[in-house]
Amino acid sequence: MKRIALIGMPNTGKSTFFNRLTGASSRTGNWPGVTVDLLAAKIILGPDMVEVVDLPGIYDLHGFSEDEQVVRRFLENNTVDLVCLVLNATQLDHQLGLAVQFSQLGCHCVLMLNMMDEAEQLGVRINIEQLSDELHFPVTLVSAKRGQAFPLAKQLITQALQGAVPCELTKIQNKLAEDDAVADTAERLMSQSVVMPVVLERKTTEHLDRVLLHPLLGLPLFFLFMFLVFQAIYTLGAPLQDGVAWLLNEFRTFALEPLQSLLPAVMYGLLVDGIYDGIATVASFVPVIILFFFMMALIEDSGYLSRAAYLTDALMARIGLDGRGFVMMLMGFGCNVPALMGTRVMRSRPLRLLSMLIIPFSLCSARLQVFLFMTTALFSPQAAPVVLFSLYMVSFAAAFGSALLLRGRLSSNEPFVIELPPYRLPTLLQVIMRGWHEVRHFLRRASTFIIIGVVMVWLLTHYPQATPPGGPQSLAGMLGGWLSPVLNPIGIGAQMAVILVFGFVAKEIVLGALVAMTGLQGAALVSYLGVNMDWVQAYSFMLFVLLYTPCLSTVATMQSESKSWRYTTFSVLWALGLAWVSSFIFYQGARYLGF
Amino acid sequence: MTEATTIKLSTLKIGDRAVINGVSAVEAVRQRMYSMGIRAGREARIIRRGRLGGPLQVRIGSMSLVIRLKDADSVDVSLLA
Repeated sequence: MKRIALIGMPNTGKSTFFNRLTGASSRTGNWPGVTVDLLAAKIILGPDMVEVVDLPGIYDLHGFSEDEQVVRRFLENNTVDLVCLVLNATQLDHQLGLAVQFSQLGCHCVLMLNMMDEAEQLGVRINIEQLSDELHFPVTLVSAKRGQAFPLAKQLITQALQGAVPCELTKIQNKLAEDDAVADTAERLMSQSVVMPVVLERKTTEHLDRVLLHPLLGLPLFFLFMFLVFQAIYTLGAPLQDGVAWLLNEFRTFALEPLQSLLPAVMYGLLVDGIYDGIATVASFVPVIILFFFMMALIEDSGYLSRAAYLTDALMARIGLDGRGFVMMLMGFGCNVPALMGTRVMRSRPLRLLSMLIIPFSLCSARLQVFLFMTTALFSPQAAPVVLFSLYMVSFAAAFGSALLLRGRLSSNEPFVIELPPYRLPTLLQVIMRGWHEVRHFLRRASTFIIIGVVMVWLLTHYPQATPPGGPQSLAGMLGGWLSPVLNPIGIGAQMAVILVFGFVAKEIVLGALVAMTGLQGAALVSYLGVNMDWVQAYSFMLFVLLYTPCLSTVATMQSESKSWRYTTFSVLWALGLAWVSSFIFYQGARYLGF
Repeated sequence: MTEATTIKLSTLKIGDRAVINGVSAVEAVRQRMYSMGIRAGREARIIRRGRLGGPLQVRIGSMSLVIRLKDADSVDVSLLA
């Protein structure tokens, strides 16, 4: 099988090109020499089965950033038959250098000058033959987004592949000329073969920026957009999630529960209460991840994400983060899992790890359910909204505080220089492909871990005795007992401690667990809680629930995104520690003050 | 003709045009800026400045960049009339 490496700068439409070339068949995989997952797809080009690998966007083959190293290591450790270089035809003054570098490496290349539609509109004229002669490889104009000249581009790739000798590269950096020599060559090619208008007319972008980046209006508009996106995800997502839950429940009732009489109790419990419920937990995230990434694709591909970074950077720079981290943090208020996945837009690893560390403090919709129930149950109608609001404030404080405390350890020395691409309308295809890829990624990476976790909690709460589940006779109950020296000082009794064990899996099941353990529902449960907890205990419990590990899916995502158990463990322990300390200070403080 | 004095990119005002003379920073930072088009000889124009010490928006050729003030401090430029 032959292999094509797809390489290009960020914001060139490389992924769009990849999607158009390969369709929906791509999957992520591991490669020798590189530590990150790369997207690859197998397609048929002419007589050959070809594997196309989408490498991270880079500005320079020579650089030190993580992405640049990934590309170099990939090329040094894997045989590549053809490098397909994708450059933005409207920015050749910045991008031709990369093509010059590849022509020096001496491996087989084809050059796709993407966004030909925009280049035409702007009046950019390119002498393709001359460029091709100088670079010694085929060059063509294409529009991956609109499909313009795409069949031709595909044909060119197929042809180039025929004559290609697999090229094995070693020590790429030694083969490259000095940066200045590359720049000189690129500039010579530019002046020979490309005519760019003196002023690139990006009227629409300039007009939009005048409003969207307005010194006073910019930030309020940003928050308004975030609010709308958020609303869209959850007004559309909630019914979808309910629908998925209903389907899964129906399946359980009609297909699985009849098995109860046929299977031994242990087997039934393990299969249905353990594994099936684990699968259901995974499935319940699917609608919201799809919607989240639809929205992300819209925000990112339209060019607004970089603007958001510009607008919020003054604040975020002070706590060691950047504006994109803030966007993800806000997204986390819906669901932490896709927000963690969304940090992938950050190129610097320390920055990304720091952002991922604070996202779990965002009060997500699952925790909101618990708090809504408890605040209505234990506080007066006047106090309840204030309590809820204070929890949101704590959520922000925990995130910003953690970033401030940890930014020294996860500081990045990368300069903050990002491109502001022109505004573009994303195509439906791009948006759908994005959602699809991310869901597959989540399912592949997180599902096993989540299912194992759910099964473990089932075992904890059902062994050795399970009346009621998680009762004092079960392992979880005993665990609650053992934990009491730690949890008593923060006002959490043994029964509520077991709830925290459930809550580690997902906050969605906290209320269900409460119902199962007390055998009470609705008003009876409310009055039961009112009798067994005073407001200080309740608030301390809510503080703990807010700050400790949001759910197993977050932990799984954290691990799959960071690829580091050490980091994941640290993040879980940090959150647990912060939760305990906050609850302790609150509980003991309130008691000391006589409440 | 008098030699234009070298100033920092971060001190420019909106609408100012300047030629980049170089980046005085550690190699990795310089390399990164270089690959983003911040290199000697290129012309930069300030489009806008963020509020409260926010970043600069700079146009270099066909590219529009956002640069944090701290990083713009290390870019030496000569103001064009």
